[in-house]
Amino acid sequence: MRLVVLDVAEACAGVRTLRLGRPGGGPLPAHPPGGHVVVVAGDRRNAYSLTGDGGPADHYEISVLRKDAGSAWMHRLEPGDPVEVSAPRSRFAPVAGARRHLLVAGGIGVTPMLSHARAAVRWDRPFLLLYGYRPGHAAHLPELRELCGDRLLEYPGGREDFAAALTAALRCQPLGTHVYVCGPGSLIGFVLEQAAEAGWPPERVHVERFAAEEAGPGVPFDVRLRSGRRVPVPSGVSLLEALERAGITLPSMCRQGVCGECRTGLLAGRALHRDLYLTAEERSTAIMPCVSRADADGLELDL
Amino acid sequence: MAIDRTSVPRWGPEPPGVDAAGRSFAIVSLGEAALPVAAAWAAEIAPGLPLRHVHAEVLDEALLARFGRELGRAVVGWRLMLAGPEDEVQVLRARAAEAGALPCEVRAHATATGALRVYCAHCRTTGRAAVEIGGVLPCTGCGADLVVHAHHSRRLAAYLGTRAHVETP
Amino acid sequence: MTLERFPFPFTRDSYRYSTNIEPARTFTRTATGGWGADVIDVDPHYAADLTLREEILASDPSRAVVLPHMRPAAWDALRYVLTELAAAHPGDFRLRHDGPVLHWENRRRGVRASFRFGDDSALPCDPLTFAALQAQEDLVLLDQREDTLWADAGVVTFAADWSLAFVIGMPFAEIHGPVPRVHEEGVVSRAQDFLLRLEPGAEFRRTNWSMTVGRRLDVSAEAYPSWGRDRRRATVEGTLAELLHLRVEVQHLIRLPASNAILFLIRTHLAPLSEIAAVPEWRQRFGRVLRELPEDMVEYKGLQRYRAAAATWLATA
Repeated sequence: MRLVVLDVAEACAGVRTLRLGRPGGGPLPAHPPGGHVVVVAGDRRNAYSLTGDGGPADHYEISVLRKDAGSAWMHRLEPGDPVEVSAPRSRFAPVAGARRHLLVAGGIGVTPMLSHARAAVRWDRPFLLLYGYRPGHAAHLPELRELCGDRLLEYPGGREDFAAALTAALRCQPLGTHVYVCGPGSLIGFVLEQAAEAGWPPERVHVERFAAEEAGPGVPFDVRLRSGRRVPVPSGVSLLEALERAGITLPSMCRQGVCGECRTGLLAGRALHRDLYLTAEERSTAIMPCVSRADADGLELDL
Repeated sequence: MAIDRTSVPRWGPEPPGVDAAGRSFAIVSLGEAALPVAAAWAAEIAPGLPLRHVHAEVLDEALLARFGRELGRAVVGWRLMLAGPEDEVQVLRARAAEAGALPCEVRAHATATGALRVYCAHCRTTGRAAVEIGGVLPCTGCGADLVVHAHHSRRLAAYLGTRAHVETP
Repeated sequence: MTLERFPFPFTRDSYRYSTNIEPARTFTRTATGGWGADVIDVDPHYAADLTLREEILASDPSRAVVLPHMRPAAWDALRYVLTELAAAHPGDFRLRHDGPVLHWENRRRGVRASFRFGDDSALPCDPLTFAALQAQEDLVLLDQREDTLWADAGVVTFAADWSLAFVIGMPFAEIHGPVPRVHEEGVVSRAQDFLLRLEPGAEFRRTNWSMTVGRRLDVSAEAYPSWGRDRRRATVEGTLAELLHLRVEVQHLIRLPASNAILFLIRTHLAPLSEIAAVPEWRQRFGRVLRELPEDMVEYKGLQRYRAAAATWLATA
């Protein structure tokens, strides 16, 4: 989506909150709590949590901690600037039936928790937010205090203080509680360790890491057909689409790698399989062109 | 008759072991045959970890009340071990799930599999009878004969029953 | 032609279960016309179908279930259904936003409602039931957790030999437990993997088919004593082509963006063999599909009594 920066504000030291909307106004896609968007930040693509409760709105709010080239680019944005934003994605949604949501945030990791808390208040879901931060470096503190009341527990007193509170909290949650963590790797590691120590099944522990986004547009490559003909496959265009553009039609249906219709014989080359259809064995001699790709060396197809 | 039975509960001949990752435990045993199973489980649990054992001869209101209290005081890290007749164990499992327990937090062993609970799709009553999958039993609610399907709901702790003899007189 | 928009489901002369998922909103051309440009279809049976649904819900409230944690998803589903109806059929339906208040008008049913989104007290019934009373589709909501999908809410009055009340709370694989072949062949696990990965706003669809004796929508497990008997009638000479209906379900799968639940809409279409046979390509194809269908699938779909007779009739009609 081509959006525009509506507003910029200093949230706290090193953190800028950006409000984004459509150039002509209008509704933005709704999203689950904890959802994020991927923003094109110069030559980087960075993921940022959406802080709203997820219901239909005419703006998105994200908070950016300045720490690398992508975020530095984001910090240079001013109201009126265009910005390219993906549709919302969800990797950190709350478990609807949880007896209680235990939210654990460290520093800038509080942004998805603001979204979770807003949704929890809206739908009357029990939650507790444990927020560890360095004084002066806590984004969204006023909103959180107002929103959460005594459901917000603050830990500005340093790592040990926060760690002790977390250790205790993880040993007294009612059956049915789920814990959600976002923050520095050390915090996540600590919570995972303590949760396991306290007997938490992994199904109850949810982590937002902002890991490298799943399969990007891929590198461009060529495929060679039996006739010797070469078909180029640009970055961001599926192999299936590239073949279709070259006048080669294959049976296809889902275009998502599940249905099996577009299965094509693979004669040579190292394929990057992204489908849900072929078995490991089948992948040595077949490929699903609707989702799978290759590295720069390309492939030879049985077409 | 259904060929695949993925919703039908499967019971091993041996009781499952206790989940070593648990940090507090409740063992519920129903009937005399369940006592040795409960004892073996208790022996597996590291000394010092909280353990409560609830035993009853049959699943009755008193047992359900005690069980409800255990569920109410459980914290995450808790594991539930159930031993008893299949139909009774399923009822407790359903209650635990309703209280927020995940399937991985509950392990169960059936000491007897002779009776099944069957949900009548037509009058929505659940009855219990000594019957097998594919067998026929009278519905305790509407009186009609029901055939028991190889389709089981953990939430209802019952197999699906639909009217028998409709297509063939 | 009444079958202009009938979603004839067969693309080959044989049928097997597959993960036949495709993008929604694709207009699919058929021998008689086409279907599928919209997610929710409104046809001339609208008034009759919804009146029937109301009657069924009144006599059997167990056909509508919303487990407590699915309340946000039920509201999300309502918003989706009303938005879709108003967008696809603006002459009949109107949805106006007035800040947090929604104003809904259904001219076909003479329904008007104004309510704040999320306010349960503002509607005459739960939001999912309200949605189900505006569209002909059956609705099921799937909750995503533990890498699994759970059928935790639904309003289903036209089930094809299953019971919503029974499957509520069941996980995806277990719901499909009784279906032959689909587990060994990975069809169900692939379908679930696909659905688990759906991003907010994604819309897909697939079709399913069976046969019904009479133009009868409610062939649920609950009502089996009533419709099961009809299966005996279908083999009486002379009545077969009028009585036997091809039943096609157009199923849409939507990742509801705010609640993250998956909305499963099931729209049932029925056409008697006699009308199917009036379209030469359909007569031939359906006849071959029926002739070729393996025994276990025939039995699961309940076609044993009349498969042979129907296939023969189609071949010689």
